[in-house]
Amino acid sequence: MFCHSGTAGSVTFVQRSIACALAVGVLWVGLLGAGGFGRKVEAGEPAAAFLEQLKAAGYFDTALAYLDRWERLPGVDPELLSAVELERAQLHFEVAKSAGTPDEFETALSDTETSLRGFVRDRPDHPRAGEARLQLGGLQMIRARRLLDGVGDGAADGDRPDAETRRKAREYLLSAAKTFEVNTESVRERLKSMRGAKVDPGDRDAVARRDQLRAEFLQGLVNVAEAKKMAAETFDEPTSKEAQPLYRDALKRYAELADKYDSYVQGVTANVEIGDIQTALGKTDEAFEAYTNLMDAGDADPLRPARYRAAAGLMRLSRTAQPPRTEEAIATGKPIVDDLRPDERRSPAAVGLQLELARNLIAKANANDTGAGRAAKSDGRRLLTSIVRVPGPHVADAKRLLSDLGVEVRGDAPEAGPAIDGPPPTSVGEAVEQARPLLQAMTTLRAEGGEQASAEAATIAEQIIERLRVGLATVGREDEPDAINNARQFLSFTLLQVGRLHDAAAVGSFLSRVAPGTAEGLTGGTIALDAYRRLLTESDDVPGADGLSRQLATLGQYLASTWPNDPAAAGAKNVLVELALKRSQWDEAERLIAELPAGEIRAKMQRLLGRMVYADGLRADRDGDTDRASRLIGVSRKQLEQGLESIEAASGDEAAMLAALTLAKIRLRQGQPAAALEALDDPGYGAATLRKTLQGIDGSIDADLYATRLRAIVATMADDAGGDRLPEAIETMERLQGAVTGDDASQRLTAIYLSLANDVREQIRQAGPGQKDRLVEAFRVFLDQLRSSTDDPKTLQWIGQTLIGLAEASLPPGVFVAQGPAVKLVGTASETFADLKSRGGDLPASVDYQHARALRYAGKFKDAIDVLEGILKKQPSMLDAQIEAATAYELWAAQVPPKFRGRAYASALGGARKGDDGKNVIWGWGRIGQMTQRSPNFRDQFFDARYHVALSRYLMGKADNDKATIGKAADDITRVAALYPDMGGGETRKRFDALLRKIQADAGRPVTGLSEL
Amino acid sequence: MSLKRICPATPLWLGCVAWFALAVDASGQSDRVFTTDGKTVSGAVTAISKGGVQVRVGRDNKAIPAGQIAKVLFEGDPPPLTQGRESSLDGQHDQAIEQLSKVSADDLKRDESKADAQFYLARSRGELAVAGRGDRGAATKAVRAFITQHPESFHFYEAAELLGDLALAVGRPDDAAKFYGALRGAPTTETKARSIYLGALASLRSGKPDEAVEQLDRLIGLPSSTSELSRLQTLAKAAKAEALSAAGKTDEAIALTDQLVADLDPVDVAASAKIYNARGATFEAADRHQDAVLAYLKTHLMFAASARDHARAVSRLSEVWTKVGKPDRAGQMRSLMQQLYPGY
Repeated sequence: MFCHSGTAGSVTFVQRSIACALAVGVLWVGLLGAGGFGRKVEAGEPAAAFLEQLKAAGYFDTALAYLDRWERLPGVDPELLSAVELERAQLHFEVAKSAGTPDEFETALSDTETSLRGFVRDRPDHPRAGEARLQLGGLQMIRARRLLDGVGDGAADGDRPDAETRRKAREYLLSAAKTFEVNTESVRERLKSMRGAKVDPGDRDAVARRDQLRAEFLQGLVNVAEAKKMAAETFDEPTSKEAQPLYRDALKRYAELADKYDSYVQGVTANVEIGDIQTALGKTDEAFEAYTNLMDAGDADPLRPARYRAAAGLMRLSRTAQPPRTEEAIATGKPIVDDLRPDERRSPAAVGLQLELARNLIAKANANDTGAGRAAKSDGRRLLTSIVRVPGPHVADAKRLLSDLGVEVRGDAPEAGPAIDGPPPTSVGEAVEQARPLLQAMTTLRAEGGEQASAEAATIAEQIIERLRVGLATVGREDEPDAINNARQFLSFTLLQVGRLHDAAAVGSFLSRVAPGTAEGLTGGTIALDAYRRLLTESDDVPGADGLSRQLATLGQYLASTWPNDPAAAGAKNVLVELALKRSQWDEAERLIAELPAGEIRAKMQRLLGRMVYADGLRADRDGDTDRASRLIGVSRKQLEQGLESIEAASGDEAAMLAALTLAKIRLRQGQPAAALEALDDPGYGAATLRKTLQGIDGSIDADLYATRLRAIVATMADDAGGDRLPEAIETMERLQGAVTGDDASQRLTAIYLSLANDVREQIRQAGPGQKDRLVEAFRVFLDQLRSSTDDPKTLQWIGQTLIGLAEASLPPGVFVAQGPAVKLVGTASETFADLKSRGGDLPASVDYQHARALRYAGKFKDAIDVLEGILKKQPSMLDAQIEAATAYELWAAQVPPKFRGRAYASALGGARKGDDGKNVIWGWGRIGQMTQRSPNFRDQFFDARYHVALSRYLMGKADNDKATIGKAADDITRVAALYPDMGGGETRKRFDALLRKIQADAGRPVTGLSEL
Repeated sequence: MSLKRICPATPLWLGCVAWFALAVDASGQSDRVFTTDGKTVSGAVTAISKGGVQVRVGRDNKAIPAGQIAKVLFEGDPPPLTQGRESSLDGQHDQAIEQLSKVSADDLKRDESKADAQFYLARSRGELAVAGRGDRGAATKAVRAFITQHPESFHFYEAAELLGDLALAVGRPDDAAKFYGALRGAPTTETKARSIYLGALASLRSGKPDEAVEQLDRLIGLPSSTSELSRLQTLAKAAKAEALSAAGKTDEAIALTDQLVADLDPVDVAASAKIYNARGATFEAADRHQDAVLAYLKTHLMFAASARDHARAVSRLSEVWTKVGKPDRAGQMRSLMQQLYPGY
């Protein structure tokens, strides 16, 4: 079977050639999916993403120029580079698809083929070699079809190309068969290797992989067989010694499909190909059996085109039998032709069927010059007149047959005829009968989707509307009310389908009132309700919205009172609720929901309202409107709790699960983690409970569920007196890691952990002493997990910094060297920074600074000071590093042997480590105080430095047993008090006061503190 | 923890600026200052100067320098101001103008809210005008009016930069250099460094590429102590590539953009746009028009978030497409310019 071609030289031939490629099942898989676009964002030229953008913009020639540059561009992924020829082929093919002339098309196809051949030849083991072979085979099929269809040669429809053209086509077909064969065998081997491995039905990915492979294999068999069959058909004589082996080979593959894969569409439809081949070989019994096998397989939608071909094959066998059995042929084909759907009549398979039926009808007429013969001739002529207007290779045959009947078809090109025709109805009953199959066809087409199907559906809809209107205009006393109401019902339904909502509402509403208590009346009412709902919700700015709302409310009340026990009528109020929700009128929605009778619908609406109000609450919070946020979240909680309580025994759907998850988040947010866990684990409505019963849930929802659970578990740690929930938390983290998938999984996971870590750190700050240790350990575990899940330097830096912050939070005030659980924390922090630095790269100074802090907390003062010296040599004015260095000296001094202690305090006070200019790189507290003295911005640092000046001098004096120095320490404080009487205020002043009293005591002076000053 | 830096050679910024003490009673007030490193300081904004803001947090005062302030949400800001501010900061300037135009003076109880509303409206109008969407003269007047009425606003240096951008857009690079020079008085090292960068751009536009290279090298040579400074140095390298190509050193310029592309962070859309625009300009200077098209297309198709960089890329494409035999696409770009940036 060749794909037919249109007029040579027009653009349509290109589209048809592409359509042919699709028809043989060769999918031009977008290289993006297989090639891995959507990779993690990495530094360097964004080659894959840019290529995608160029394609999307239709700049294929520019994209080709871009590919030529890939090797020279910095940072192009080597994996992408290795498939550059395949990418190039894809682009040439895109150029072909948009070609305006046959020459451009031909050139682009040649370039595509050159690139594909080059890729397959040079990279036979590339992971994408199979994909390339499939594409190469598909391309060869396209080229063969173009030759056989006579595109470019000006061949008329139905004319057989000359022997040389067929020879060329055959070469392409045999090449294609070989290309497909290599690939199919490779897939067969892979499938064999999977045979022993049991695929867990719950493992959706594994099941999908196996199914995909199986589909590829079946399609591969079909492709090989079809290429061989087409190659055989290029010979003049099917039984020639050249054609026979090709047919036999094709037959073998089709037989394998039909025998082994009869539960697949490809397996069943192989029968029609077997029938065609056996017919060509003159084996009519075998052909009959094959066609009959297919006819017996039923008329499921995917089988219908093959069924029409098989019926045509059977009729052909009957017609060409000796003697001809035309009556039998007509008996086979006529019921099927009569039953063709309007949308199917113009399909190639259906047209072939009608042509064959016409041939039989004319054969019958020629053999029988009676009334029945004349009727058959008339029927045959009508069929031919209809199909001759449909473009395709049958046109030449149809014209010839019509010509034999004395009918001349005007014009060379067929015209597209209307999808449906026939006389208008003369009564309402007739209109309903005419509308019924049309409605079915329209519904099928709409379900099919796509531009063409939608356009055809719209045409049919207009016919339905017209016919029903004509029918309704004829209504008289003699007409049955049922027929009239049926017509109104069909009319309102069709109007709704085509979006004529005002009309649909009017007709439906009218029907509901003239047929109260009937099924038609109820249907009309619900159609009107739907039309009103769409009118009010599909646009935010509907003219006369208030009036429509009132009509909707009135209709709703009418339906509810007329059909009190019918759920569809009760749905009227639901529409009003939906409307209020759509308009974010939460109070109105709440009021309407409260008026609904208790039951599942009300609960469902409450859950929906709860989720929507929660989302609005979050928006308000983001906008800084905390009062509104708090109020909305309160409303949301109430609605969710009420909406969920009716769910029993884990019977909720996905929406219910999401509602429970939202409730858990709200309770968590309101500081009730145990209640949040209840919302997750409740045996009836719990989100985690429901999740276990649901299939096909998106991975991001799972991730959200586990992240929420994790937060709740961690939050309960502060409350749990005895329970150790850490193992549960770790298990949930592992599940979370499993649920977060995709190219950006690492980033998403990191973001979740960072957010979680912030939560826990806040908890630690607020925790009592008894809870702190447990929380600290939990947090350390989180940070460890986080550390193992990321390589991002910024995140690692944050981890280290947070560990230090945690250590600080866990230490009692005034303690600057880690003890207890903090030892482990600063140790991990130090390792994190060391690890980060060992990776090299341009790290900010803050990494060294934080590393130094970790070392200082770990009591490794010299190491800390060494690191700080390194920073300060480059950036002497980094105040935090100067303070850290002075602090390290001061703390170190307390731990060195007494004979070095005074000198260490002197370093803390006056600085240390000479630089190249002879000045101290580390300033010490004295200079820090000077440098911060004039700035209100550094007020806190100034008073802190002055305090430590006094403290270090005092301790130095004590270490050296030098009363004069101790006395000077007191003077340090009194001088500050003279210049800054408030001494930094509050706690700072108290600290100065306490130190001064101690100094005064040790110096042997009266202990007056600051009160004397 | 943010690292504080002081420079012994220059007076500490807070010591040399006048505080503009707020008249409002700050007790119990809840303002939120968002800093450029992602932190939030909540408390009462008690003083504002061009150097920054002072926030009372509990019993302590915290001073936040202007260059480190991402935004301030003042308690009592009406929703259109909050939304408009966000839109302006997100580069959604049309939306920002629409939202800020809804702000009624009666809804603004505090002077600082009034100043913010005026600033962001002027900012969004200015940004659009720079990109060729709006009256540049009117935008300049609006920014000047803001500075005149709020000389001690913490937005002072942003406003000065915008005036410079507008001057540059109307072809007055010398005036632009003066406005950019004002940034030298800013409290943060990053803003001071930005003054050098912008000054170099003005030099480049004045036809002094050697002077621009000298300025940019000075900036590139600074120690990269913060990520913001490091990013600025990347932009400086992109500008340097343009300056080098303007000085006829195209090989050196292209090599520099090669390095920038090798280190490109595609997530930083604004920087990526500037790098590819610079790369396009260097290829144009080297008569490598197809490469120039590819560079500008990256800005156009992938990094178009910044209106002014996008406008530049589309504008160049409207000429360079012709040089590679695609006058139809050049025409499309001209139409796009008419639609998006009619005044560019």
